[in-house]
Amino acid sequence: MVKNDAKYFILIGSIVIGTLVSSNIDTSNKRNLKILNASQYREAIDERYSLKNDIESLSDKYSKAKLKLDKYNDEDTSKSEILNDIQKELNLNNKIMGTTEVTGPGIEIRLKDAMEEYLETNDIYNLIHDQDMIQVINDIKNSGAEAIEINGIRIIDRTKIYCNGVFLRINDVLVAAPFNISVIGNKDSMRKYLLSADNYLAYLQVRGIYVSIDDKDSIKIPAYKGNIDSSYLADPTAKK
Amino acid sequence: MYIIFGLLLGVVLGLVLKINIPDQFTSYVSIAILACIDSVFGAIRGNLYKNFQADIFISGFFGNAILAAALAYLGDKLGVPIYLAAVLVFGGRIFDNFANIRRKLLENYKSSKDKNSDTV
Repeated sequence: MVKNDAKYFILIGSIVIGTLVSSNIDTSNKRNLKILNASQYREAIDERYSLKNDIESLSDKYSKAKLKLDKYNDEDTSKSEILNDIQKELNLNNKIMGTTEVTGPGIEIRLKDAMEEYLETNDIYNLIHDQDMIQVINDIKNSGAEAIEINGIRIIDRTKIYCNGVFLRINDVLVAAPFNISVIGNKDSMRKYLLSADNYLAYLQVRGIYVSIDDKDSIKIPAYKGNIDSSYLADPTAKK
Repeated sequence: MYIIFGLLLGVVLGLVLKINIPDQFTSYVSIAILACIDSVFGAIRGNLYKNFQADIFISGFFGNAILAAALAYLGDKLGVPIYLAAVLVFGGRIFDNFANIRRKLLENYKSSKDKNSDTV
């Protein structure tokens, strides 16, 4: 009796094993295995992490957009509410674009030519040139600035800076030294970044140019006053 | 005989039923299969030595499989290849049991032959 028992159990056990093996082999056939060395493995892990992050942020974006769309499609939402929302979004976009006045905490940078040294040595490196201003603005943008202004002229993505004799021509407006650059953003991180030794302000200081940075709790930055041309810009998603 | 029949039946069942194990679990199932094979070999051995016990077999069959899969999963999460422990232990025991089964079968075969030659 004991002997028979064992045979049945062995039979059942081998049926289970066979089932597991066959179902496992079935799926493992499709798997694309590859042997990786340590550094390749680490790269793959890094890539997986960044892809996961991408997926997360995309799904976050998606859910936000879907929420908005649902709200608009919802019949309970009144038209004025929708208009209000759209107006809010438009205002935010205008703020980012630079076409409206903005206020906020930030820093004020003063740049002044080293005039005395220049009169003594006639060294043009004692003066601030358009190239210097472009580099400084680039550094400021990189430091996390959200809005920038030079002597009352708003800097946006279309801003151009040229040399015009003793002036700088910024957005087609002539600006003379000294330059007051107001920047809205995180005060501490911007100041730290701008004053670090490998950034352009440090190089200007080496050239004798007067550089100072002041923290401001509230800065008012005016709107961009020029035209923003968009006659050649077409919406790729628009139907033809 | 029973084993081969059972395995074939199982394979056919698996193919017919098309049980789909998700990709990320295949490695755990492999470890579980190893544990099951070990239990079956243990049962065959117990059968031959006449000390087979159904309850021990059943508890070992499922318990070992689940424990092995769980260990493999834990190892995956911790980044330590714990599944190697299961592979080594079950692999070693399978060979051990097989050696015992082989010896016993050969002994049985020899003794039956001796008996036959005695009677002739």
